[in-house]
Amino acid sequence: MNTNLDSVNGILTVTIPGDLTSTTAEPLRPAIYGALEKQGIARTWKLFRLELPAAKMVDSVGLNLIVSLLKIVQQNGGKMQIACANANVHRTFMFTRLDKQIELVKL
Amino acid sequence: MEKRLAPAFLIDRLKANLRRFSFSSERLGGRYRAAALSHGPVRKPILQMSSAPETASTNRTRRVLVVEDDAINLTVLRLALEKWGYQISPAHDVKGAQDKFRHVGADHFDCVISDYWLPDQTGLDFLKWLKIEEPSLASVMLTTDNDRSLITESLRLGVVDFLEKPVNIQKLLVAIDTASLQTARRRHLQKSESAVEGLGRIQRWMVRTVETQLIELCFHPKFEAGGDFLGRFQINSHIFCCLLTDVSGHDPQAAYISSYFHGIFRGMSLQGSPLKDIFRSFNQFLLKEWNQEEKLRQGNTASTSVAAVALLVDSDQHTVSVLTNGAPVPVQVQPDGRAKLMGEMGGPPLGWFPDIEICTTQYSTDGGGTIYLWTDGLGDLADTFGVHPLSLAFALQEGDRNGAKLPMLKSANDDILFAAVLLPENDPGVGLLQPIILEMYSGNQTPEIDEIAAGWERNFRLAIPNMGDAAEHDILLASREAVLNALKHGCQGRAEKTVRFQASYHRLDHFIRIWVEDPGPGHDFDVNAHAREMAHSLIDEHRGLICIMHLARKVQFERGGATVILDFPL
Repeated sequence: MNTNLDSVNGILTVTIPGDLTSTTAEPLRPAIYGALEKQGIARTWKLFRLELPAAKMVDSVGLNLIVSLLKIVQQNGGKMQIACANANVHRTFMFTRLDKQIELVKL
Repeated sequence: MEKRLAPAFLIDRLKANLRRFSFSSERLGGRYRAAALSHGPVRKPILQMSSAPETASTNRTRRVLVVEDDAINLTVLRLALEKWGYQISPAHDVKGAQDKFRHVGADHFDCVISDYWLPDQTGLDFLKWLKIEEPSLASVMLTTDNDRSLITESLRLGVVDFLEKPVNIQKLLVAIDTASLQTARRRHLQKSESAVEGLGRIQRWMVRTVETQLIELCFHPKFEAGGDFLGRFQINSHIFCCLLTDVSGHDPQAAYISSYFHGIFRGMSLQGSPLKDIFRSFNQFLLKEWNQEEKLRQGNTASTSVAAVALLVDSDQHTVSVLTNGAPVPVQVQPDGRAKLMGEMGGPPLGWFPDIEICTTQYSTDGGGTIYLWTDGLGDLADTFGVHPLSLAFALQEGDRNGAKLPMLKSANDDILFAAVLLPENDPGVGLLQPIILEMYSGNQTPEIDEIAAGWERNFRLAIPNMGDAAEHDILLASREAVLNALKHGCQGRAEKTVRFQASYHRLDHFIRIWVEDPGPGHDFDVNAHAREMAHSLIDEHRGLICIMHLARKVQFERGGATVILDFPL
C-alpha cells in the first residue's frame, strides 16, 4: 500500500496494489486508518482518493472497508474518490450504489 | 542380371587380391579410376581388408542390397561379403535398387549398403524412398571425407552407420550385423505393435458398444490397450448392470484381465448372483490363482489388482445398488441437477486382501438422473492441473465432440475412462445440468477462500474456455460471497460443519448454476428491503447478499437461505 499527500491540491491518495477482498481488506484497514490519522483528517486535505490500479475484484468485505472510510471522510467534511482500472470492479461500485456517494474515476 | 558388372578377368584379379586380404582399386589402373571419378567428388578405394570380426561368421544368411555405381567397387564388395556368407543383391543406381526392392518384396532384405554418390540420384534420395517403402529396413551409408556433413540427415533416415571410404572390412561387417539386427528388432516391434493395436481396437470397440443413448462415454487409453473397461447389459426388462474396471498396468495383460472380469461379471449377474458375491469371487481368483501363478511364472512380486464400480439399476423399484472397490466414488446427479457422492471411500481394490470389505449401498433413482463414473486416471490428471475430475471430464467430452484432443492429455500417466450412465425415467430436461465442480469445505476454511476461488477459476477456464470476463467475475464474486456467508454464519466457523459447493453447466441453455449449502438455519431478514435501504444509507450488513442478488440472473433461497441457488447466463 502506498500513501501520497498532495498538500497543494488537498488530495490524500492511498494506492492498494491488488484486490480488495476478505483476505486483503482487514490487514489493510489499520494501515489506511493510520494514513488518515497521520495526515490529520480533513485538515490538510479535502479529497480522499483510493486508487485500485490492479484490482480485479472487490468483495463485500472490501466494500465494507470502503463504506467505513467514506463515513470517516464524510464525518470530517471531506469527499471521497475511487479510481479503478477494471470494468468489473467499476460495475461492482455501480450496482452497490456506492457511485451515488463516491466519485468513480477510471484509471 | 545382378551378378556381372565387371569383366571376368577383373573378377579373377580381384579374387586374387582378396585372397591376400589387401586391396585397393588404385591397383586396377587409370581407366577404372577415371570411371570412378566420373561423378561426385573424390573416389577412393572401397575396401581395406583385415581379419573379419567373429560376429560375421554367425550371420551367413543375411541378405544385403548393395548400391554402388562403380562396377569395380561393387564387385569388390560383393565378393568380399559373399566370402563371409552374405547374400548380396547388387545395384549400380537408385532405379536399379528400387527395381530389385520391388521385385523381391519389402521384407526380403536385412540391410542396405548404399554409396552416397550415385548416377541418377544420391544415396540419401534412395534412403528417403526406402523410409516410406520399408521403414524397418536399416542401412549403412558409404561416403568420402567430403560427404560427412550428410551424416545428420542420414541418421534421421534410419542409417545405423556411416562408413568412410576406403571401408575397413571389419567395420563393414560389424555395421552390417548391427543394421541387420536393427532391422530385425524394428520388424519384431512392428509386429508386436500391430498385435497390440489390434487388441486396442477390439477394446475400444467393446467399450463403445454400450448404447450411446444410455451412456455418454469418454475413453482415452494411455497406450493402444489398457486395463480400463466399461460394460453395460440388461439382466431383464427392468434391471440393468453397469461395470467399470481399472486393472493395474497399462498393457495387454491388464486389458485381458479386465475383459476376463467383465465376462465373469456378466455371466454371474445373468445367473442371478449378487454383486457382492461376484466381487468376492474375483477377489479370491486374483489372490489365490492369478497372482500366485504370476509369482511362480515370473517371480513377479507386484500383484495384479482391479479397481471396480458396479451399478445395478432397477427401474421398477426406482433404486440403484452401488458397489465400489478401489475406484473413485461415483457421483449421482438428481433430476433437479443436484449432485452427491454415492458413499465415501468404498472398499480396497480387488486382489489386495483376502477378507475384503465389499458392501452394496442402495440409492433412490426417482425421476431419473445421471450417475458419473470414472477411473483414477482422470482424478490423477485433474490433480496434476489442480482441477476437479468433473470439469476435466467435461472438457474431455467437449474435445471429443469437437474432434479436438485436449493438450493436457499429453501429461496423462494412466488410462482415462469416464462414463455418464443415464438412469431410466428421465424427463427431457433431466440430465442437462452437468456438474463441473463438487466440493465440500470445512467450516473453518474461511482463510483459504482465495485458494478455493482460484480453484473455481481454473475449473471454469478449463471446462468453459470461452466464458466471458464479466461472467467469470460475477460467478466468482457471487460464489465467494455465498461460500463466505455459509462458512461464517451457516457453519459458525466450526471445523466439523461443512459447506457443499456445486457448479453445473446447462448444456442446452448455456448457463452456470451454483449451489451453496450449509447446515445452518438460514437468515430471517428481507434481502429486498436491505437492498432498497442500501441505496439510500450506508448500512454495514448483508452487503454480500446484496452483491449476490445483483450478480446472478436468478437467485433462489431454500431452507430459509441455508441453500442458495444461483444462475448465471453465459
